[in-house]
Amino acid sequence: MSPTGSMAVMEMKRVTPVASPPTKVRLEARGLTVRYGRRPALDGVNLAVAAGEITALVGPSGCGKSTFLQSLNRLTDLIPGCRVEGSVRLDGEEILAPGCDLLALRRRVGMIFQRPNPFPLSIRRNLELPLKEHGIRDPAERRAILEGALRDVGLWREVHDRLETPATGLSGGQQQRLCIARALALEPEVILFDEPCSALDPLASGVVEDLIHSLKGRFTVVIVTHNLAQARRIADTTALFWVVDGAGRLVERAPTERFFRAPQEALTQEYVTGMRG
Amino acid sequence: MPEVRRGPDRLAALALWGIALGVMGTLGWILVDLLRFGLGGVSWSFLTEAPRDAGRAGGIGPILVSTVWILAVSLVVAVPLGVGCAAYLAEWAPTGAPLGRAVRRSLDLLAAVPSIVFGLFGMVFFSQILGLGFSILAGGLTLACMVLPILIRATEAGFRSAPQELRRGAAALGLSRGAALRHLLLPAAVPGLVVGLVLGIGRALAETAALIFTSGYVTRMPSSLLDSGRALSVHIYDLAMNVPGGEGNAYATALVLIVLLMAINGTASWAAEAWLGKGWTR
Repeated sequence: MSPTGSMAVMEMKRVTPVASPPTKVRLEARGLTVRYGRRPALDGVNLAVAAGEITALVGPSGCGKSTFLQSLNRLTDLIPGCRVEGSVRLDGEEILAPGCDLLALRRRVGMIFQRPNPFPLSIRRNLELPLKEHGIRDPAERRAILEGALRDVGLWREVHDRLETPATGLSGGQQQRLCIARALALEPEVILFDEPCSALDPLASGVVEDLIHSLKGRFTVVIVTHNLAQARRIADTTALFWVVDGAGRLVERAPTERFFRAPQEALTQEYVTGMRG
Repeated sequence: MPEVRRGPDRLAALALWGIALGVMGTLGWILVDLLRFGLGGVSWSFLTEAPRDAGRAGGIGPILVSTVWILAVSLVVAVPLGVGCAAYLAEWAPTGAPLGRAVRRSLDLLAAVPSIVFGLFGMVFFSQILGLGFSILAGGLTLACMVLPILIRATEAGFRSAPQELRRGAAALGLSRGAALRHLLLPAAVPGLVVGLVLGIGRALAETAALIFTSGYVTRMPSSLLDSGRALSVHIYDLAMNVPGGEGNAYATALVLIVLLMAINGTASWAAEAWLGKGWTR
């Protein structure tokens, strides 16, 4: 880890991981099938995500990892012609049901994208707008949450004296940490990361990776990554997706250590050793 | 190495320069013409006094006031309707939905309707059926109908120019579509709205045919929105066509109209920039 990276991480709140056994399932997908028009993107995926853990989804491009991720907070609803079948349960509650309150769901399940997407507003407004919309009316409370979230991502010292300046003026890595702070401010249970480091330079990428690692225990994290070394460093559980018969499928899900050391599937073996993918 | 042939390239560049100069030249000619024949007639008293002798003498005070009122009525009606309709078309109507398609097609047809037809419609609907008579209100409402298609299409383009990331990002944070529209997409659509406003105001200020039948051509100072009032362009038309010896004041009035148009366009762009600038920190 780079020296600047570790400094930023030192500022982050260290949270002792929740005692692991017995592992509670936070999110569970069963028979999840997603189609774009007629084309199946994902076919019959069964995957459980343990509470407080980091689950990494790996696999080659176009194998349905991002699609899987987006169906966990129903961002798939925004894609024209996208149909989702099967079941996804968050704390046992079906989120694919028609009556599901999407605004509440997305508050509980936050998401970070590949390209940092701060709103074209000030740093302060980026954090305060979602808080306000989710009913936090007291300005003092909002300020306190804002400061806490910025401290969590190690950004407070860097930006506390320029909260009123445009968020788009921050560097790429800072923008991504701001987006993470914005998600943290809503106190979600689950945070989904869609290749959060792949648009960043190596230094910033390291800082963001350490930050994600520090969220373990306090939040349930599902991260899509192309970087196998990253998955190995931070994930408790790793799952491999692969295109089989034209649709993305889950090949193997295992504790990270075993996933890399002793995979059960031949495909996983070939993928982690770099022979395929 | 074979020589690159530059001849056609130079010729094309020359032609494009010529066209650009031609466009500028036309505008310049009009302005010079207006200044030459009109500037002598413009004075403080010309701007404030009432016209006399059918407009040959006196000023354009009441006509300026009527024009501003007519414009104000049309904008107060057209802007909220236009922004609302544009937001519906860009953000709510699913692509290819029958209602959205029908609305878009009607707007394109409306934009192509000659202004005299709007004038007749306004006279029948606003003046007669709604009983507004020849009035600033009837004229302003008719202009609003005329301006709406331009305003809506330009604002819709503004909404569509907002990056999809903004909508996805807002949805991922659990913001409602209304909140995303208000706080994120509307500011992004402001440049489009301003383009629509500038084009719309231009069309409204230049309008003669639609106003003669609706707001009328009385030169008195209007005392309410239900009074008849003569717009600047109607005044120019009247002086140039119906009043022998009115050319001098027609030129002076045209000059005032052009300056007014430029001032409004400038203010609109400035206000939009100021508002967008403030958008960062609000």
